[in-house]
Amino acid sequence: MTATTAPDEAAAQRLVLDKLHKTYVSRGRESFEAVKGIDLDIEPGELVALLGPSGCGKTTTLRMIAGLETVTSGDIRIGSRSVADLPPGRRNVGVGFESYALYPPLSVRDNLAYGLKARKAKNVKERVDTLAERLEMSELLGMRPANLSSGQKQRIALARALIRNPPVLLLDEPLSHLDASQRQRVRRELKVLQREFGYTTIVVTHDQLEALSLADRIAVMDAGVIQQFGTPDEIFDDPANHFVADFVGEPKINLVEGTTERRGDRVVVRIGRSGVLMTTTTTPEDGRTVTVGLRPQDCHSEHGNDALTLEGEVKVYENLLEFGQATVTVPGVDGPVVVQTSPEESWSSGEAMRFAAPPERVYLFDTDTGVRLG
Amino acid sequence: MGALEVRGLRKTYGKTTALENLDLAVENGEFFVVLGPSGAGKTTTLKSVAGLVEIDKGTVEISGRDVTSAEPYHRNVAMAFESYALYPQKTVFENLASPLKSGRSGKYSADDQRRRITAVTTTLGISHLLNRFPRELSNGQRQRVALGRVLVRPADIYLLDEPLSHLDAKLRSAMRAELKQLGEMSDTTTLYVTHDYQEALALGDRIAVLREGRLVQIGTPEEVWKRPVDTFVAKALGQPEINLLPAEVEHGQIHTAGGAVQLAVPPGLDVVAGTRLRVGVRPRDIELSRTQADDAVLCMYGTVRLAERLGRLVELTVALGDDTSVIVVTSSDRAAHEGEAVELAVRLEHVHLFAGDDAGEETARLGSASTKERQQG
Repeated sequence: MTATTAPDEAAAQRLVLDKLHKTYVSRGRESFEAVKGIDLDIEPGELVALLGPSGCGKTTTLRMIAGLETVTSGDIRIGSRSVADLPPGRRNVGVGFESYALYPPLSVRDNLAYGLKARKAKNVKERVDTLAERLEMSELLGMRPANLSSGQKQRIALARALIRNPPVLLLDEPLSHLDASQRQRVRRELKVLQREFGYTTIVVTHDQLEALSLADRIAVMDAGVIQQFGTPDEIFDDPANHFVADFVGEPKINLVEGTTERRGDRVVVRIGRSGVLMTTTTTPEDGRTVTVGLRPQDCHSEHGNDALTLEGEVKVYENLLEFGQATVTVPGVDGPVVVQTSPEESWSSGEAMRFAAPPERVYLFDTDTGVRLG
Repeated sequence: MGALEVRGLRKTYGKTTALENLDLAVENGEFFVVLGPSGAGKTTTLKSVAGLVEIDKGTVEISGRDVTSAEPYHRNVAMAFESYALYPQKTVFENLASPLKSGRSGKYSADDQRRRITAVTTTLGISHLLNRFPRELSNGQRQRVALGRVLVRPADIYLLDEPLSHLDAKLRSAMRAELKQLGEMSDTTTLYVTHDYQEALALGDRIAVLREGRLVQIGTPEEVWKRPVDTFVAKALGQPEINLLPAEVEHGQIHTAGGAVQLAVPPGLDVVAGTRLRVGVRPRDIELSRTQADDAVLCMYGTVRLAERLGRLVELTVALGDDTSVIVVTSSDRAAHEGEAVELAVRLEHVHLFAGDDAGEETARLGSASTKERQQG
């Protein structure tokens, strides 16, 4: 820890990434551009998730903000101050890593207090106690890291990032080692704490559900580029491209080939041998080949005489009691289409199913570029 | 094909008891799922059936034959492990052929081997991968090959240990559907171990829920879902977990401390005034109602504290006043906003009543709050 530290407990601040680049150059190998000029403007107190598959550049971005990686080009600003050239200790960010980085010989209490003591903070004991209570871990304070489960270690690593009350908080996969029900509780608590204390927060995750549920806004990254930056509603209901639609949502969105057909001022899309679905898009010309995205949750079985449906044969029907899930083969369509049904429905293998999705939930993408067609 | 019967199984590792007095009777051709958290004894159950561990007590019968002391390869079972366990230096074809070459499960001519392998690879959709090496396969493909190695050999019972756990969520749900289809096509008895309740519900003809080496409940997916025997089973199925609200009986009414939940004691439920209960409601069974409720419905009033988007669904944390809050899962098209006052409705047959708890113990289900349903247990 450096002697000259930034002020403790500052108010939340705006965080701006300006054309941020990171290129790794190693001798004898091709240089690798991990982050390709990203721009992000994060409001004070906002929680933003960097979401993407492994290798998309999200952790590199986080490490550049923390000061653990040098910046190849571009700038990082916290408040009005450029921090791109400052050492980590002077950036005034709290960091929680996926690997816990706890001090093994120290008790949990001392692990939490360490950063505070190094900064000569007051009321260290009270602050540790209060936070431990909030994170349901008071009983762990006397223990050593070696005696803890991975879920417990993760909560402590999280607490250690929170305890300094930093104006900017960076968390790398903060919930990945928790089991399903713990993850939900800690996720909710993290969100409540973050709101209460107003840290400007970046969470790096590969888990789309975690990003959707936790973040105010999500930056979906792939291949070093931000594919879409928006609220969870925008990302899920209004995906900007094929990648975002495919990466976000579980079960996965169905992506099938279709052909557009203009009917007056509306556009319908023909799918497979006899399927037709209404869309709300207006731009594509007649007869264009497109990729059609249909979320399983948005499909519903149809029993009326509506001609605007897809029809197929149920291959498998899974009754999950919370809902049902049919895997349907549609003539002329490659691969199966997954349809979620209400738990009251019941289907058997071999049955014919007609289904459709609301026109505003039938997404069309350019087959080559993947860009969403409006 | 064969039935499986396990009686009074006990297995300890040093001082740790992995299984205690376990009874299972799996019918011929049944797809039977063992569900439980880690450490519940699921894998030990499989290994005991396969003969890979020596059991301390009890018997294992396969197809009516006592195999308790038989060697693994005389039990005629085929087991797939959680890790793929493929030979890295062998092609997919050679990997699939190896169980047929060991001679322990009979002799197969080259033609026989080819025929069996073709049948299995066609079913699993991996016929085009036969000449590849494991390192050239994706995780999903490796999983299929590992599964193929089990299915290629005729066996009385297939034993599958978390075969989907290494796959990411999206691939897992696709593979689950494939397994379901496979299960419907083959009528080989299958014992399937998982910690994933959705897999259990989707695949199992019946499910056995294990906790700390003991059997808690056996039933069809619908039975364990609708009539969990205790709070442990209720919590093990469903994500987010079932809401459990502490309540007390007074003047023929069940109510929570803050009074947010008020219910008539259903007929047939034998509780006296002062009895402590827990009211259990699954997040998906709670509806945001803006209509007039009828008397087959439990109504609650509260304020939305937190709204978290979960794909098409939204998870709401609704404060009911005092310290009580419930989690509600609803469609994003109908969701309420943070800070909004809401009226919640649950059909009484979806309101589970459990015994009150002392010090966080799991407690038994007493019945539902429905006035019509006959009370169980």
